[in-house]
Amino acid sequence: MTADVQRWLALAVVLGAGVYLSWRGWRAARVARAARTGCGRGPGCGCE
Amino acid sequence: MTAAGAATPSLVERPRAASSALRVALVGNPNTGKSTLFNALTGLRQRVANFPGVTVEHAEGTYFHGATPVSVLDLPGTYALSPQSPDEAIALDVLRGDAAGIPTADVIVVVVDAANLERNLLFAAQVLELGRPTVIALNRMDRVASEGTRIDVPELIHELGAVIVPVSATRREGIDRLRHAISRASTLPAPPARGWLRGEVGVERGYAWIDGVVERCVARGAGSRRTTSDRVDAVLLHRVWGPLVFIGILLAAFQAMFTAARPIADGIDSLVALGGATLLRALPAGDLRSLLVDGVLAGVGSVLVFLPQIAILFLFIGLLEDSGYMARAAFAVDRYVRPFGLQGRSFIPLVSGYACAVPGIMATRTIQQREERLATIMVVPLMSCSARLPVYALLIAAFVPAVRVGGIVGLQSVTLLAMYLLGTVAALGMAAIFRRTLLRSDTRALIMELPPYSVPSARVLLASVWQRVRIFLRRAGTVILAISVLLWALAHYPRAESPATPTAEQRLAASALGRVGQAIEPAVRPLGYDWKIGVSMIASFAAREVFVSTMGTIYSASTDDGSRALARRLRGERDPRSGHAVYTPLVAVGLMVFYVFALMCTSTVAITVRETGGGWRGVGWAALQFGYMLALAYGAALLVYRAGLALGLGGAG
Repeated sequence: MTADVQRWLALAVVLGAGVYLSWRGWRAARVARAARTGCGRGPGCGCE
Repeated sequence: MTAAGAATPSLVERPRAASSALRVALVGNPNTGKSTLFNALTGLRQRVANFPGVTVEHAEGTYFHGATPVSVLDLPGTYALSPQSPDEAIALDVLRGDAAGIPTADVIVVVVDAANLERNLLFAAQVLELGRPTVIALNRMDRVASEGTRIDVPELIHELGAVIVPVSATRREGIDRLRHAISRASTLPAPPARGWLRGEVGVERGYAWIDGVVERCVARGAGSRRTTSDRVDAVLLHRVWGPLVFIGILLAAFQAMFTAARPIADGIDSLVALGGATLLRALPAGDLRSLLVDGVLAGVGSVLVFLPQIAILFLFIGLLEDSGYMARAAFAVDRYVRPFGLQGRSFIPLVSGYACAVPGIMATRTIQQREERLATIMVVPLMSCSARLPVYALLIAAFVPAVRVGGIVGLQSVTLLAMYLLGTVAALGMAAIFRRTLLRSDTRALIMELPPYSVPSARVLLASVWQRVRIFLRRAGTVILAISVLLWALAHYPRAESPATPTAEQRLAASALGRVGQAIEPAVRPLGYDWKIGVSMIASFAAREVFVSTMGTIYSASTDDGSRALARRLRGERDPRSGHAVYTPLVAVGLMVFYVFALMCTSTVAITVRETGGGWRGVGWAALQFGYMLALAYGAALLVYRAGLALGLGGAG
C-alpha cells in the first residue's frame, strides 16, 4: 500500500469520524432542545 | 397459598403471526422486584433507552413464547395512576397508549409485592380500571411462604376479577406460567371498569376496599425471619457501625478494582499491544498505519483497559441495591447528612452518582421538597462517577506505589477511596451552602420503607453489569473512537516544515493540536500542567473518559516508541525545556482533584436542564452547576499544587 493510498484512506476515515460526530452533536442539540421546551418531536414541530 | 389457576381454562388460544410481536408493558410500585421479573422474563435480550424526547430511561427486552416474539417494556416504578412526577406521567401515557413513539401495549403486567399487598393493590386496581388486558404477577411468593403467611390466590382472583399468577422472580419460579398467562391475556375480555377509584375520594374508598380484600385473602404468619433481619439492622443502622460498615464496603470494592481487575486489564492491554504490533508488521509506514496505531488503538485501547474495573464497580452497586442494603445505608447516614440540609433520602441519589450522575439526578424524583431536591441535583455530579474511574486509575497506577498500608489494604485503593470521599465531602459541603443560601427550607424527617433483605440473583446481577459494560463498549466504539480519529488528525497536521526530519515531539508541537495546546497553556500552567494535559482536559469536556484516550493519542504521537503502556509513558515524560519530569505525584494528585470536582459530561448538563424544570430556568441551574464545579475544580487543583510546592512536596521531580 503506497503512502498516497494510505493518506487518502486516512483522510476518508477522518472525514467519516467528523461526519459521525457532527451527527451526534446535532442529535444532542435536539435532545437539549427537547429538555428545554419539553417537546420531543424534534425541530420544526411548531410547538414554540 | 394455592397455586394460581392462572388463566381461565376454557379459553381458546389464538396464535399470533410469527412476525408480529406481542407487546407487554411491565408496571408496578417501586421496590416490587419489577426489574428482577423483567430480567427473569427476558434474560439478556434487552436494551436500555430513553423515551422519545425525554430522559426517562426504560428497558426493553424480548423473549419467545413458542414461535411468538414477546416484547417487554419495563416502565418506571409508579405509586398511583395520578402522576406526581415525570416518570409516573410517562408510565401512564404508555399504559393508555398515548405515548408518542411507543406502540400501545397488548397486555399490561402489574407486578405486585405479595409481602406488601395493602400498599400494592391500589395501583393494581387502578390499572385494571383502564379496561385493558391485564395480568397481575404476584411476586415474592417465596418470602411470603417463608414467613408462614398464606395468600388465597383463587379468592384474590375472584375479588379483583383479573388473571393472577404467583411468581418468585429471584428464584425464577412461576415464570413459565406467567409467560403462558401473558400469551393468553390479549384474547381475554378486558376486566370491567368499576369507575369508583378515580380522584381523591376514590383513593380513600380504594384503601377501604383493599383492607377488606386483604382480610379475606391473607392469613398472616409469625414472620420468624424478621428477627434475623432486625439483628442485622441493629448493626447496619447503628449510628457508629452503620457508616463504618458502609466505608468498609466501599474500600473492599476499590481494593477489588485494583486486584481482581488487574489480570483482565493486563490481558486487554496485551491484546491492544499485540494489535498494534500486528498492524506495524502488516502495513508499511504511512498515514493510515499511524492513524490505526497512534489514533484508534492508542485512544480506544487506553480506555478499554478500564473495562474490568467498571464492571466491578457496577457489580458492587448492584449487590448493594439488590440485597436491600442501599436503603439501610441511607438510614445509617441520615443523621450525618442532616446538618448539611439533606436527609437520608438524598443519599440514594448521591450513592447512585458513584455509578453515573444521570440516574443519580433522576433518582432525586423521590424527594418531594423542591429545595431539597434541587440542592441534591446540584451536588450529585460531585460524586465520583464511573467515567472518572479511568482517569483516577491511570494516574494512580502511574504514580502511587503498589504497597500495602499496615500489611492489609493497598495504598492505591486507599488513594482511590480518598478521591471518592473527597467528592462526597464536597457534595455535602456544597449542599450545605446551597441550603443556606439559594435553596433555604426546613429539612423533613426521613420516613421510608426498608425493603426486605434478599440474596441477589447472580443472573440478574450479571445482566445489569453486562448492560453497563455494553454501554461502555458502545461509547468506546463510537464517540471515543471518532474523537480519537479526529484528535489523531489534529495531532498530525499540518506537518512540521523544519527541520527536514523532525522528531515526534517537534511534529506534535507544529500540529494544530500542538498550537491550540500552546495557546491555552498559560491557563493551565499555574496548576503545574503542560499543554498536552491542557488539550486532554479540553477534549474531555465532551466526556471524562476522553481525557485518557486523548492522552493515549497524544503520547503515542509524541514518542517514536509506540509500544509502552500509557502509565509508563507518563512517568517517563520530560519537559523538553527544563528536562524535569512533567508528571510528578503532586501534579497527578492535583489532576485527580480537578477531575473530582469538574463537571465534564454533556449528558449530566442535559439531565440537569430537564430535571430542574426545563426551559431557561433549567438552563440557568445547569449553568450554575457547571460554573461552580469548574471554579471549584480549578481552585482546588491550584491549591493542591501550590500548597504542595510550598511544602516542598516536589513539583520539579
